[in-house]
Amino acid sequence: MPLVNFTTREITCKLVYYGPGRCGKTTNLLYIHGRVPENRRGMMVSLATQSDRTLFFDFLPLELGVISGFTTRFQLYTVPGQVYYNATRRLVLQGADGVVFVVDSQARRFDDNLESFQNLQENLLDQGVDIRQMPIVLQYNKQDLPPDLILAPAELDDAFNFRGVPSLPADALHGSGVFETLKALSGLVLQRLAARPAAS
Amino acid sequence: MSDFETFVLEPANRAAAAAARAMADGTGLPDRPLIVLGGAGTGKTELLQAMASRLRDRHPSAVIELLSPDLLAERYRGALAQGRGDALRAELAAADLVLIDDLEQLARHRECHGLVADLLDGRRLAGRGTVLATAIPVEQQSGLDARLLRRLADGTTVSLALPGPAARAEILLRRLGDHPDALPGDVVRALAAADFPSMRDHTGALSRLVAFQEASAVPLSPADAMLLIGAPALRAAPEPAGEPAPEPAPDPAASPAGPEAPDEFGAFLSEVAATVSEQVDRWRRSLEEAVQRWREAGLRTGRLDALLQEDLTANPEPALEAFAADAEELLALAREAAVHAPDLAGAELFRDPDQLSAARALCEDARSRTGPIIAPLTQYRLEELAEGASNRAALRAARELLAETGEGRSPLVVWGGPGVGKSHFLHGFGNALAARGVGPVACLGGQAFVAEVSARTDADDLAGWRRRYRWVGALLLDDLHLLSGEARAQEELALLIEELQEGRRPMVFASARELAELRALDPPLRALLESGRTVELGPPDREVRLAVVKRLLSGSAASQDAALADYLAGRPADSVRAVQGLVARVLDEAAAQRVVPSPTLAREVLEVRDPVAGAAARVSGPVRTSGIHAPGMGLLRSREKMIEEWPVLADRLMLELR
Repeated sequence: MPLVNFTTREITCKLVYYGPGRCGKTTNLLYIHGRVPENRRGMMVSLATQSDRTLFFDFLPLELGVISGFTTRFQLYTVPGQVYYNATRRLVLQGADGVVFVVDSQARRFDDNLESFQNLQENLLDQGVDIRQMPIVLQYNKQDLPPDLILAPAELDDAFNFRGVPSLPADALHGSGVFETLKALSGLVLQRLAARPAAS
Repeated sequence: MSDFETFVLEPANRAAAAAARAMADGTGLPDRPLIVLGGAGTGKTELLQAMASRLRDRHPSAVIELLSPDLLAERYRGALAQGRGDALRAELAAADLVLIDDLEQLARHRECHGLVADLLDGRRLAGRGTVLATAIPVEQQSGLDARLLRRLADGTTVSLALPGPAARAEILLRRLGDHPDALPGDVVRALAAADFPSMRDHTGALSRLVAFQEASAVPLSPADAMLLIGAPALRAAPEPAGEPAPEPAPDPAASPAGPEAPDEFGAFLSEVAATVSEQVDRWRRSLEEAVQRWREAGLRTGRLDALLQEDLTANPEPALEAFAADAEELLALAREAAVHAPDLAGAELFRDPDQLSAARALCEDARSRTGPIIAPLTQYRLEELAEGASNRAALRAARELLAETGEGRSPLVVWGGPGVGKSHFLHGFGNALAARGVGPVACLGGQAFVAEVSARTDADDLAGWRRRYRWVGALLLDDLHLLSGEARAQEELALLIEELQEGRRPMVFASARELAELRALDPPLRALLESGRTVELGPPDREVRLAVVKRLLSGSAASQDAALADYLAGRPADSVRAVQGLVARVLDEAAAQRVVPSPTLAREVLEVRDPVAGAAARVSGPVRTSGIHAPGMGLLRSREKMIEEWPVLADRLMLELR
């Protein structure tokens, strides 16, 4: 998927929310969906199980309108977090322009986060993408939980952010940090506009 | 509402008031933004309001946009959120008058820089006025987009100064409006005389005094009034030592109206818009800079102008590169054509890169008027010239000339005996220049040069011939010694050298004899030649000979025979051509005998069969030998003893018994 299509004067960014199951990826999208004017958002597609777990993926298209002559669209995806849906994750990850890795800040989910993060690197590598070349933002979700249950952003930075990418604390349920995360990733992705070859 | 009268009261502000009034009346210069420059409280906002008021009075249906940067950003953000970004641009562009206050605060709203720059462009083209007020001169503004700054720099700046006491008193009395008795006249005058930093402070103090007076039955005296308002002289008293100044109380008017749900999506959209605009503006800036640069070079930029008009649908870098290539070629064609045909100098065709094909044809036509230039032979390459002690100085001089280090003095005169590689050097140097884009490179022999000059008996013909050479990128002349005694040719060459030296174009001359030995050279030409560098191309030393032999053997069955190469390189030869002859004789003999060339065969060919010629070559060559014939150790061993490099007895000796 091209980032910039000069022929049709479109900018399309595919942003993927990645992370372990129940970390809050879908919650991020739901919050964004609720904050976007109706005329600017497409239908949010969410395929969930009866227990509300994402079965396939969530998809939220955002129409940002014409910016500097370009029709700008963002497509937000989530991947299913459960370990056994790796094929789906790979599929969703294809052609991603940027990734939000949602970390569940609960201390007991530390290993799940780590496993999912390694899974992200492997899946990107399978597609020939070096994670160091991919715009990525870490979101430390559920920071609203009692401090004794969670790890602080600094501790999570030590564990996950060894590449020094942007990282933000969040409470996706109430919206804190949700748009900040989206802004941070959008900035990273859009700053690469000029560096990317023009698609015909 | 303010009017222009208060500004007229202060002589220093009359120019600003006049310009503002003209803009409001539509008689100003709408093709340039009007910049109102003044410190805090000098009345910038009042002047903008006065303009709006005047226009509305004259044209009640006029659309007037009076904006602060914050308001503009808010409207833009809201418009983007509703997908009406372009509609807002259109609305602002179509307004009868756009007034933007506090321009310096626009630095906080990066996303609006492109919008305002576009706005200024659009309104300029439409002949509609735009007025911007600021406390900071445009050239000192920081945080504003470069493109926007350029647009602002094109504007007309008028200054507002703080009114004097008399004007301040008049302004304060006007402020009292329908209640001129609300304060005693002497209090108003005392207030006007107070040294507040801005008019805003005076009017604020006026309001406080009026409020106090309304609540008091006793008329205020000027002294009481000054105490009440804390006139600057009193307020300026030093603070108690060690006690920090109190924080200013927050201004309720400046605080937000109340808590509102933040427009997170709007803020997000605003950032995205700013980032995208930044990228697109970067492209636009590069285009604008290119347009300016090429226009300054006297070229038309229609192709680039069209790109700008298209509102940038693509990264313009490839288009810019293509234009630059066309423009460079066009300029070169123009220079060349002007030399061939002066009547073509400045022809319109040479100003438009979009007509490059026609320009090429015209230049070709110009060339045909004076004849072609003889170019270097392409089979010679400087890098293929085997390097050794005998030619190292010449090659170094050539490389310095090529590298334009400043050390490479031109003209370079290379001299040496026949067959040492002068022509190879000259043509190879010419090809190296051509490969670096120097062109055209003229490379001809002395005989041809003399013949060309001699053939030009007619003055016009000679003038054409001169033009032909004076535009060359480099001049390389072989067999310089053949110009000896040719007075006209020498005179023309001297003129040509002077011309090319002025243009810092490289020149190399090759001669079979040293300059000092060319006694029939005219003094002016000799002086010019001696002003450069003279180096000798000596007879090939062993290193050069070995390299030449190896290259010649490389295609034969003996290409790997180091002993054969060593033997042949050791043979005396005073020129590369002689080395080539030795190798050719051995290879021919091997071919005739249908054997692989070998040292044994070489000795048979070069020594046994032709000892006299071998001896003669030895005697004539710079490599001296003993001439002693010694019996060989084998059937066909060498019969000579060789002593190489024996200029001084003490330095020697190397004796090789073969």
